[in-house]
Amino acid sequence: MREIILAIETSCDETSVAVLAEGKYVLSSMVASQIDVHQAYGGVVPEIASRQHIEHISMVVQEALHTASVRREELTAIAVTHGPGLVGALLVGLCYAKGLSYALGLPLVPVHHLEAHIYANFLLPEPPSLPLCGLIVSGGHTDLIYMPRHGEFQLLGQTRDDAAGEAFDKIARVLLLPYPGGPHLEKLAAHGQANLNFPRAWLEAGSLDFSFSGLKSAVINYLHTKKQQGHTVVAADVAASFQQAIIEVLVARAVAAAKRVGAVNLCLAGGVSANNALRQALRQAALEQKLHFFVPESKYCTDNAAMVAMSAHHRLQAGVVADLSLNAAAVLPMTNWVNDRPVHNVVDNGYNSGKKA
Amino acid sequence: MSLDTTTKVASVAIVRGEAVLSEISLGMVQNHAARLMPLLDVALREAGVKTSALTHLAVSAGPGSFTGLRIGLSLAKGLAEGLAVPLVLVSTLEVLAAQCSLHSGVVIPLLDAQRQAYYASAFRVEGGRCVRLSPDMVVPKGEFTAWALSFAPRVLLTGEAAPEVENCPHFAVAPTFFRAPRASVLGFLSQGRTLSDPRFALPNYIRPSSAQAKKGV
Ligand SMILES: [Zn+2]
Repeated sequence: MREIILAIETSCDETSVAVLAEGKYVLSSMVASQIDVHQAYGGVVPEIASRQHIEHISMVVQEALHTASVRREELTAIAVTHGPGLVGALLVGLCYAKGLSYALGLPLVPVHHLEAHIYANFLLPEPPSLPLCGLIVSGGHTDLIYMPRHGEFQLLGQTRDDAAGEAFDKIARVLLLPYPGGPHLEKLAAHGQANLNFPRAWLEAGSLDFSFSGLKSAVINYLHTKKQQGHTVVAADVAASFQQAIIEVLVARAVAAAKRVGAVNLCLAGGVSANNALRQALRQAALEQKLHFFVPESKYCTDNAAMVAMSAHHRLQAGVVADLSLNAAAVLPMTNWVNDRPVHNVVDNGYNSGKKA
Repeated sequence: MSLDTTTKVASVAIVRGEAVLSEISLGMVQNHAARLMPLLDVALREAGVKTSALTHLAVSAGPGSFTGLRIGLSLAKGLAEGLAVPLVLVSTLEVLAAQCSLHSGVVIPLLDAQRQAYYASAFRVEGGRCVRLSPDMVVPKGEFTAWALSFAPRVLLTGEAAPEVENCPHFAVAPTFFRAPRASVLGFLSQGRTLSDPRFALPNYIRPSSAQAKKGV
């Protein structure tokens, strides 16, 4: 029988549903974004996000099935993100998926949100081979992951304070850019010169970890000092210099990580991977280091359900299926589902506060 | 099939006509999302009812815990859409009032609404039937007594917050085993009610989220 997975993702402020056939063909990928709703609050409000999800979920599912020209009876599995994320938001997708899979008598496949971001790379027409080294950059995470085979993950490095996306959002806010800050900051940076020397935190020798809070403070201090002195600043230059500082560290660490584990495939993933400057810089560095570089199409970089479906496809192959008691979790460590061991040290950064992975 | 997850209780039932085929209630549940589906599964098995035999699903519309409401309703939506059956939404407070239908007089069910307020509404119970006297609403704790006594000089209180109300000779409090919403009662009330399309069913929060309230939206 032809495998057709319906996947649901509601971990933050996007209600997404996708239909994936045979682990290859994205028949549909729908995203109902709530950006306009949260804009008025300058960030994602968890209770509002949850309310929006339950309002939209049925229609997004219907649209996804309709666009895919698939009837419910043709589905072979239901997949759902069960964490990490905003728990109230996750619960809507999770409970809906549980009800639907029970009613249709289909297996329910639980998917880890960050793992799904890595799996977005397998949606490429020419997906990476394994082993691979993945850099996940988002509002909640900055992680370097080694993946020797499907279902096995090793954490090589992570941020010790702010996630890269979080730093982007905070600096965007002090530059008075509208929400969501990241994309606006990138746009502004494109018009500026990276002529200000903000600090790069390289940490101790050999570390593959990240730290962005020092950089963030340096930028804020710079703006503050200039203002006190009555000097004007060129916001575009500040944005460009800040972005350059982040990208430099991300690129150097990602390349070093791939080298260390001997992976020739380097994958970028997560919401911030939609940033063009980062994509280009990493592509260039990979080329110089003779690494194969992969990055999902922009629409699969931000939160979407197609990546959840792809992850579920591989989990299904390994027989990973949830029982009726599956719950959602705001904090959820990545696990190796080939042998069910938790991946060490994957910590959560500021979920519950509406940060997006 | 009916389910309620609006309070700390999780209750599910299979009801056919006048008969309760199965009913399971758990008190003090912390993780409704994990418990609900296994309970429904057992309720169906014990009732000997296949999902294909269900004519509709009944679910508590609220008021109650925002997250609890969404857990029950999103699960019910998924089930109802998968089974292609309609949903019936019934007020949690009406279920609580109906559980006191042996009483004669005014019944006021109340739930904790946090921020020094109750979710409450008033019903007149007569001959086993409940007639609504007020919409489901948020009543500040300080105004509760005056509000409640505006319906009758003597009132029966029920619901999990009932024992909290200050002792007052005009109030009687329903015994504890009447105060938790039961899915079987929800199931009975749902019979003959308006069927709704599960895709458009929404919880009755009554209150805006605190962020919206702050903005005055
Ligand atoms: Zn994400």
